[in-house]
Amino acid sequence: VKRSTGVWITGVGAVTPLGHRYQAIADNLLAGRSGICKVTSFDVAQHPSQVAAQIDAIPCPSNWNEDDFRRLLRLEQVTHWCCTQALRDAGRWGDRHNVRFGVVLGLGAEWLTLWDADVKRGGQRIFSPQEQTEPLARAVCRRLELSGPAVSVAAACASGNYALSLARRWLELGWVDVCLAGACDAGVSPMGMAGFGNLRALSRRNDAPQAASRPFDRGRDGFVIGEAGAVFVLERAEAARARSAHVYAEVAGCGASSDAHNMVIPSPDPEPAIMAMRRALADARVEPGAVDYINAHATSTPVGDIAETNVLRAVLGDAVRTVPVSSTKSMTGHCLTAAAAIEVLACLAAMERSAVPPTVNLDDPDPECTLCHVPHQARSQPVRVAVSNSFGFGGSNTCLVLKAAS
Amino acid sequence: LLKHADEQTVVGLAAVLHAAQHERLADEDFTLWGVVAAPCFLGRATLVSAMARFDEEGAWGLSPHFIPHRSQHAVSGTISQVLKIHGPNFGSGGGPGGVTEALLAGAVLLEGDRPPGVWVVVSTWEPELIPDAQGEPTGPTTCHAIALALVPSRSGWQGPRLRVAPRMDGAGRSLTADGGPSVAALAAVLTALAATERPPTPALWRWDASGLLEISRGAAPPIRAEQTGQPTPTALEAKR
Repeated sequence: VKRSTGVWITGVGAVTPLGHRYQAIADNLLAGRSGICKVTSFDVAQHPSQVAAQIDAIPCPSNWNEDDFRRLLRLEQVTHWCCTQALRDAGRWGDRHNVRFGVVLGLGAEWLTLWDADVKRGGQRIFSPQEQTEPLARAVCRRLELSGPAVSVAAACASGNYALSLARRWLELGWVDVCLAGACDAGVSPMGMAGFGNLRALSRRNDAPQAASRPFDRGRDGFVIGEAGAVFVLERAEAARARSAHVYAEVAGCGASSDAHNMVIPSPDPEPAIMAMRRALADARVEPGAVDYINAHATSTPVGDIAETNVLRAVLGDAVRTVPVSSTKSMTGHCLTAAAAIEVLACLAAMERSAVPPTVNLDDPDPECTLCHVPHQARSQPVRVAVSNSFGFGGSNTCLVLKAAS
Repeated sequence: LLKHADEQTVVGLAAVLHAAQHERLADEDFTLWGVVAAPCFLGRATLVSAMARFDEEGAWGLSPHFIPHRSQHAVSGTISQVLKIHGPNFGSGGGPGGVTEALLAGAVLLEGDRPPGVWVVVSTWEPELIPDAQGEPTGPTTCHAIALALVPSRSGWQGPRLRVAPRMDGAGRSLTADGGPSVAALAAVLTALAATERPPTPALWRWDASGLLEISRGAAPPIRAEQTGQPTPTALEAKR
């Protein structure tokens, strides 16, 4: 493994509550716009939480027939759009057959989501072993005629970071020449909202949807469920350089650990999450004080935001007073399996635009969450090193370090 | 802890606990190991009953345990919690081909300055559990799981060996089967490896257009190895 090689992000495909093109999403994030609203696509009268960050129409990729694409289930549409768009954005559409192209997708509950959506549409897939047994990651490979390996990973909200970490390693090992990596979720459904609602994880601020997601704020009362997808093209630096590719950032460091405490509740012991962050920074050879921006996991739950604050204080040390921290979930909601990938996109936007996206709704910072916040409005400053934390059900702690490519 | 767990979680955990007692692992400290688990069609029957209850009782009818214990990370997360494993844990696969996906994901974790070992746990119902409208199985079925303890290659190792090779350097060698191994096929290979005095023919599967997965024993003729590990197999069954 040549550690000096570097793995770069050269393409982005996304669909989010804030848009379905990278530039539009970046504009909205940095303008502090919220994608959260009252759910109207199904009856939520009996649900404890009635707000969500939903994707509207998912664009049809140009290589699909519109009718065929609309017959796909929502998660399938999100995934195909993101992968196709990322390939095109990277300028790898034309030569995708000539290289070994891998796929690593974060898909947290692929089959449950698809079966549930199929039943809602009158289908019977869940009762039939013969119907549709092709995993989505492989369907993407087949549809895009990619020849490399296809793997899905699932670590709840941390899935996207695992996907990028795995893809980076495949590239370093020479298993693939180029890799699509990211995560997708279409979890805003009656079952999804009921499941998280009954866990008492969701905000019940139903009368003010855009104020419902308020990470680090004293008035937070749970997260707002969201849905989205973001997929990136990763390739080795020398290959990207050789074809003069547009480069978003280097995937410079990854760290992961497990709480081994509870399937849902974060560990009161911050050490495992600290370990994940320190591993990622060490992997990237970055000192805490050199970090320009941290996109926090901060979902807006009472317990989770305090737990992460303690982790950040321990990892950053004195730099905790100066390293800007924000949670873009205040605008995108918590996009579950897709969350980490969406937040990588937010970091790319921060690096490209030299501006730190804000935590909107941070009107009254919780004294137990004292950090160098960026409330309400984006902060202009160069961002050469961005860190994205993502923690998930199952006790997963992950941290990704992105660097400006040199 | 396991009250709300899926059967594949319980059987997968049992396989890990069984394997951990193997003499080869007697001195291992699993604290920093990784866990990669690939259950197949996790939660299919439970989803049917959950949807029925949702239709009858509305949103409040859905158990708060459904999502944490039926999502694809549930098996790896539970194993991590039970064994107090603080290394990475995540799910992989989810449908057919999950064994290959888990091996590809698990083997790569061992590269470089990474966990000292990785549990790769694969499970499935055989035959596939097809639920009726109430979520009950429509026929007899058995839940199977295999736990593999992967550690980096050690010199002189004569036990089972996993190799993941990105190029078809084993040209001319016949594949064990088209596509990757099923849980049953993996169990058969591991059983054969354990039972034979002489090293049997290595089992070979493709993991994409040109990559190979090889499971062998002892000093099998090497294909170019990009990642190696030594699986310590065990297979358990639980009747539903």
